[in-house]
Amino acid sequence: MNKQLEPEVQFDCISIGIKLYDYFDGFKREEIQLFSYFSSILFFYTRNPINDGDWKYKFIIDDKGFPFSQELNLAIDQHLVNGHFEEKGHFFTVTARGMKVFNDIKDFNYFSNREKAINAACTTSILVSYEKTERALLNDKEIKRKVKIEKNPLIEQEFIYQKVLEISKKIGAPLDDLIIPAVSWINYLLLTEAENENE
Amino acid sequence: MNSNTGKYNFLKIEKIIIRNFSLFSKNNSVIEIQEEINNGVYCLAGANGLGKTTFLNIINYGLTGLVLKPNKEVFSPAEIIDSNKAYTKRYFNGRIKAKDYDIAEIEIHLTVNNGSFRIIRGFSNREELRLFELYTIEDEKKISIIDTSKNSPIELNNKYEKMITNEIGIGKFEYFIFFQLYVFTFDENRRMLFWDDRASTSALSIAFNYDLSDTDKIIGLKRKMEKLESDGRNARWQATIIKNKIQDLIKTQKKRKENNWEDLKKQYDNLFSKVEETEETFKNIEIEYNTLLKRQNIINSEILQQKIKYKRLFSQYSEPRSKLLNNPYVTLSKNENKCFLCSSSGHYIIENIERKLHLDKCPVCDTVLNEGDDKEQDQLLKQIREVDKKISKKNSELEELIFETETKKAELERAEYNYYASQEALSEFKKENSNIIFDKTGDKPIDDLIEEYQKQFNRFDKDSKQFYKQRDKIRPEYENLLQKVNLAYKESEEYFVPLFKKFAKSFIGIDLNISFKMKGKDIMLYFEMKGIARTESHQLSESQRFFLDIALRMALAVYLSNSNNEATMLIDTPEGSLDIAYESRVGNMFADFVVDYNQNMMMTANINASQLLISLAEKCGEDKMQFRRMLDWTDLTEIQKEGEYLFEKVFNNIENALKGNKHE
Repeated sequence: MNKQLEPEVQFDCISIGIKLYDYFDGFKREEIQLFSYFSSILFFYTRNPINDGDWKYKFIIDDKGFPFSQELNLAIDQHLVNGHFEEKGHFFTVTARGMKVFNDIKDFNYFSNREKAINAACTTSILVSYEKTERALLNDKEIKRKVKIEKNPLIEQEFIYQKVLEISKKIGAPLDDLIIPAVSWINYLLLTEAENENE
Repeated sequence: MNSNTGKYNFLKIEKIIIRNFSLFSKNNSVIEIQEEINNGVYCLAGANGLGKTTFLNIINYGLTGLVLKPNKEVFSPAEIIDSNKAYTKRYFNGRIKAKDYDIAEIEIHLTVNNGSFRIIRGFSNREELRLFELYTIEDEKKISIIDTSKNSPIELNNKYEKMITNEIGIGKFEYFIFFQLYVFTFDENRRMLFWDDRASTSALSIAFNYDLSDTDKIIGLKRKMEKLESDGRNARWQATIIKNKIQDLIKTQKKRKENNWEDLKKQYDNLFSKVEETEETFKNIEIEYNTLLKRQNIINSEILQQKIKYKRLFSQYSEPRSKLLNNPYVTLSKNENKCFLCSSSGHYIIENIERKLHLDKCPVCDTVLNEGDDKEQDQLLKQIREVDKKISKKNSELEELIFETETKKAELERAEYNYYASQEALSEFKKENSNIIFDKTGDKPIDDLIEEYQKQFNRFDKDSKQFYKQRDKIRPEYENLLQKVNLAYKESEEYFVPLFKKFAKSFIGIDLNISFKMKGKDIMLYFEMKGIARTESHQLSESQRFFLDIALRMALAVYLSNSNNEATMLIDTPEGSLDIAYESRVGNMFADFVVDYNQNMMMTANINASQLLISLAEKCGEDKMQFRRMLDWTDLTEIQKEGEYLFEKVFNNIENALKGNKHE
């Protein structure tokens, strides 16, 4: 068995897995990683600094330009072994047992603020479209900048969060509703992506 | 030439023997000094540091039991002993080695009024004599006058003091001490009678009187008056201090009135209680704040414990088939990457086994597995839920607590600010009103305090006046006695004044006049030079003052001594304080004293002897002067040896002078 995984990373993994499975009937490893990363940024909105602390695990940018966390990768394996996830061709699906486990734990206070962030991140992918969300996150100017300087750099989530916050304030998004800042952020990234390409 | 009919029979020292006095040692053994003292001038010469001054001090110690403290003060006869006895004890400590201390002694042979005294005094106890003999010589036979065979050393001393006082006729042994040490001795401290009010009063009242009991009264009354004056002065001083205090209080009172003190005091009290109040609030909030911080830590630690529990339970929950997974056959397969059943090998083997172990049925026997597992999982889930609730509850509690702490912190900052602000306000107020005392108004109103001080002042004032009144009561009697001294002086003027004038003129070269004056409580001799009174010491050069003082003493000695009982003056290295121009004149003055009036002189001289000694020697001749060198008294240092060698020439000159003018 690999090193003992934190409850949070196991929760994030199954929660994102279920949502992506609900919306798109299946998901890939890198998609779990990407949405966990997106959630980790939105988490700065929802978290209670006193109780929750930080996201518990960090991401690097892998060779394909995707965020990657080894903890999350191990959690996917764990869920596969436990029979919560099932591999079907190039995708993963969530088993009935996986559904039951998630239903059992989804209301735990322990994860409630993470769940809010995950929910907002995954909902965005429907509101904006999955492709756009993915493209926007992967083409974040800040991430691109870091990749240029260093191979597989560590993502500074708080720095990106500050940017999100700045945009949200500019457009006057209410802070209590997480979906609006999330969507605004993706749109902003898409806009700057277009500007970047024009440049 | 001597026709003295003075009132006192002064003593003549005949022989000095000093035994076991460690200072006088040669080749590590102490020398016994034996000196026959001739009539006229006995001059002891030697280099510095050989012990000339000590020699004179030993003689005075032998006679009086005292060595004077080295200062300029002249004590009254009644004070001399008490003021100098402690110093006397110390004086010989360094000069006599400890081993010799008890055996060291001075023996003096002296004559007074036809009686011969022989005394031996040890240096270890000034109040004792080891031997005292009083005898006359008839037909070369020694006839004892008193029997001292059964007397203790203290009794011998008492007897000696009594007998010598009687023989001299001076009334009291302390007057003898006074004359011997202050009038007839002119030592290196250069004390002077002319310019010292107290000394001259004592000396003159002993010298000029009809009855010695008058002298006694004068000295006694003078001391009494001085004491009353001192007491009166002290009481006056106390009264003045109290008066100043009263005035300060009156000033404060006035200031208080001017400044509307009552209002200010009220303001002060308010500010003061404000400081106390804010301080208390601040301290209380601080305690509350610290309690909240402590509580936070406790809850945080509780949450941490629960989270650890949560993690442990969740970990168990997330591995539902751990029993099957930890089966030894499965573990073996995992370790060897080989199926334990069919022995097939490959990386997929263990993944497949593990996945199948999580299915509802046993992959080997198809038995349904879920039931027991679900129960276990449900149990775990229940436990996790409980921990989750606890953590959540604690988290809310913590949140509330943090909010409360933050609020308290703001409250604390306010309280702290208020406290320091009130302190500042108080100190500002104090600064502005620094001339007013707020802290110590006391229970006693200021008026009471003034009244109390006034009482004290009155008491001291009364005491002071009383002391002065008492002194004034004594004064007529005292002044009457002084008048008697004045009268006695006037009667003797005819003889005494020319004596002084003669000595003074031989020294200073011009005619001087002296007159008797009463100055306050004291009597003094003033002298006039060229018709102008010289009353202050700074009006003359130092040399002039010294030798005029010696002239006065010589005149007193001549005037007071009875014939055949002439005085002996002890003079320590006189040339040391003399201008060269006066050297031979002083020699002449000394010679007059010895030759013309048959008086005696024991003097010491340094090796660089001067014209003083030559002219003295010329005038005195061998009969009237003996010149002794200290060469054999002690080991000489190189410098002293060199000095003595140079002195040889001078010595020969003096010897020649002595031989060249034989006195008839």
